[in-house]
Amino acid sequence: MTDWEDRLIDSALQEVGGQQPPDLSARILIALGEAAPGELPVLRSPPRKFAASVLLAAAFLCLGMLTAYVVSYAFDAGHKSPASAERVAERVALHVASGAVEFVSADAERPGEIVAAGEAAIVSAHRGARLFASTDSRLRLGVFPMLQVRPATELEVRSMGFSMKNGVVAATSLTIGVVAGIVTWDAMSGPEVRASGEVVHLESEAPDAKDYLAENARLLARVQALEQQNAQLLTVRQGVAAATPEEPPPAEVEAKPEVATALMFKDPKYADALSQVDWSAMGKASFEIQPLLNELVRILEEDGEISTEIAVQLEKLNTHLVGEIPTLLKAGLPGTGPNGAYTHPLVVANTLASTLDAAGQPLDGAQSAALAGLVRSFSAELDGVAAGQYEFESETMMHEIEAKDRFYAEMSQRLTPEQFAAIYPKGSTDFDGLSLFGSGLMTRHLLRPIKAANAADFARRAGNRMADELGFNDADTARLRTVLESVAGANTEMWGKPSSAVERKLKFLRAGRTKAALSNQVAMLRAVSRQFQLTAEQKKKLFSLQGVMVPLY
Amino acid sequence: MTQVRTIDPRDVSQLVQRHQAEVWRYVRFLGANAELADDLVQETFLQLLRAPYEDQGEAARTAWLRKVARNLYVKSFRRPPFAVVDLDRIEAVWSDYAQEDGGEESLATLRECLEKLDGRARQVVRLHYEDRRSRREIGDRLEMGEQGVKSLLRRSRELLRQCVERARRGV
Repeated sequence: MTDWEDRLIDSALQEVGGQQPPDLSARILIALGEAAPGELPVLRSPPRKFAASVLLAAAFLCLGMLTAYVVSYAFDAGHKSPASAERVAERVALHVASGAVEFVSADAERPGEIVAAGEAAIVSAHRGARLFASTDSRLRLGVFPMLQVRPATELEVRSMGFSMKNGVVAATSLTIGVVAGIVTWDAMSGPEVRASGEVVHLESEAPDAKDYLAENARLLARVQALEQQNAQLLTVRQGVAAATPEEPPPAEVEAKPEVATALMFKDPKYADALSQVDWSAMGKASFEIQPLLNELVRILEEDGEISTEIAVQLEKLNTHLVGEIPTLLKAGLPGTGPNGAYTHPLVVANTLASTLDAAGQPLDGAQSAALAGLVRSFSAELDGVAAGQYEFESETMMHEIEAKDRFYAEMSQRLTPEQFAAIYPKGSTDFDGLSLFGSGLMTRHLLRPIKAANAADFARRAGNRMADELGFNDADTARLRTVLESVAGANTEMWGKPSSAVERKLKFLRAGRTKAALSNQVAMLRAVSRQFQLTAEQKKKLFSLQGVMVPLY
Repeated sequence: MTQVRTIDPRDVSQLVQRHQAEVWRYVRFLGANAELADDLVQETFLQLLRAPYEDQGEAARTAWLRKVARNLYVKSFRRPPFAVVDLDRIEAVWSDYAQEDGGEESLATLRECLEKLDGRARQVVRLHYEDRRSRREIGDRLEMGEQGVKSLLRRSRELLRQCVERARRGV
């Protein structure tokens, strides 16, 4: 009998002895909505491999956590530091007429973006950028001709030619390699076809006079519409200021607060994007999800099992939010990760207003005014945090959480007891991340559980992971464990009592434990930074570590 | 290649329930403890559900899941837990056992074989696998040395393996 045959019988006997495969379907269903893949802390953004490119077109709001709907912030990067005019010109519109196309930037630090039929996105078509289509799709990059691609086609941008016109750099040619599949397009000379291994040369399509005229007419119509809208707004404002008898009395306005289908709390910087969000849908989904989350946790605490029925209901509700998340994220609000935007005061206040509408407990005028003041104040504070120079990204996150926790506390004090009960049903604040109105949403998907019952165990496992990432030798790894143990041992909040099933199975940590773990993480990083001679590359990895290692036992 | 798709949670449940036992057994066979096996099964299905995957039928899906689970198991170690050259052997042993039902029939046969096992061998297997006694505890009870218990367990497993194989061949 070989060792493997022996192992097989051994494992089968263990099953006969009672260790049987569990039903993990509910657990998997819930985890499906989460963002964080794998267990290892992310010390660096992994290089993106196309074959393994994983991106859901939909975003999920699952178990109170907005998942990482990964959006490539093409606009942001361009605004920050365009390397050159040509780099700016490489930012082109990707229109998808049919099918769906995933665009992956050449910059491995950035995730891909899926553009579905009828949608467009601004992408950086640098050399090395790739496009994938799993089905028959039609796409157009910038001013270049429409391409028709067959299923399983992969294209790679090889180069882009430019010319200067009236002081503006414009793309004039585009060379694309066909990595896999088949692509066809209409060239001047007739239909062209290229297959895997071949190259596509495209020339920009110069718009003719009728295109210019059509565009001019469209813009004129838009200007007229805006002027008309402006005039209407002026009339309304003057009417309110004059408070004429014909106008509705202010008391009546207060008696029937505006339903938050529109944006209630505004900031000019983000108003355009946020006004596209269906806040009513957000509020309705939030209102329905929270009790389910509480019930899920209650059943798990009582029976030790995750309820499949509730997990399915949660997943169904998630789908209602799918259409809203990309718009929300594209607003470009500051914050750590996708949930950093979701927990931004501006978003929280608008979601709160719409959730209270759904609950039949809308905000009154005084509450709205008070909340608007809080939003302004905390938004400014968070802008400062985002712009701050901290030693580690985790430290930025720590300050962000601290500010947001104060915002949530202030906000909740403005609610009536009935409103408070609707927003924070009993039990929802017992665990970090369980409430839809708490900073735990931001950190939950960043948790990296480590099975360790004491500081020494924790240091050994965490040390191994960190040493792997930093490329430490055995001697440094051993020293690293000692350093981590001394830090982790000093953080008594982490070792209070054994983890509950809710913590182990759903990653909802007991209230306050996430912050303790994050604080520990920052202390560990600082200790490593001080006590080891790190290379520039290692320092960079250490800086960008966001995963929060937390002991579960 | 990523595909734009929405996933019906009911389909997810059915898919997981169809394959989870085999994937779990497989990673246990590779050496994962029960807790790690749970995590690996979860991650394996997440990869299937999140990644673009062109379904080519049950057999291909099962093989895909096994491959992903194995890779995830290997990744959970700092150093590979087994040599690459073992992979073929591992696959052969597992395929032979799992057949087309994820190992259900083999497991039932093993239970029958266990009933046929004689005296001391059966006793030691029961004590170890059902009562979860350590080798030392078994040794104390049966007045044997730890090494003796270890050898007896291994011989018992060999007898069981032969029994399962004979039953499968209809001998």
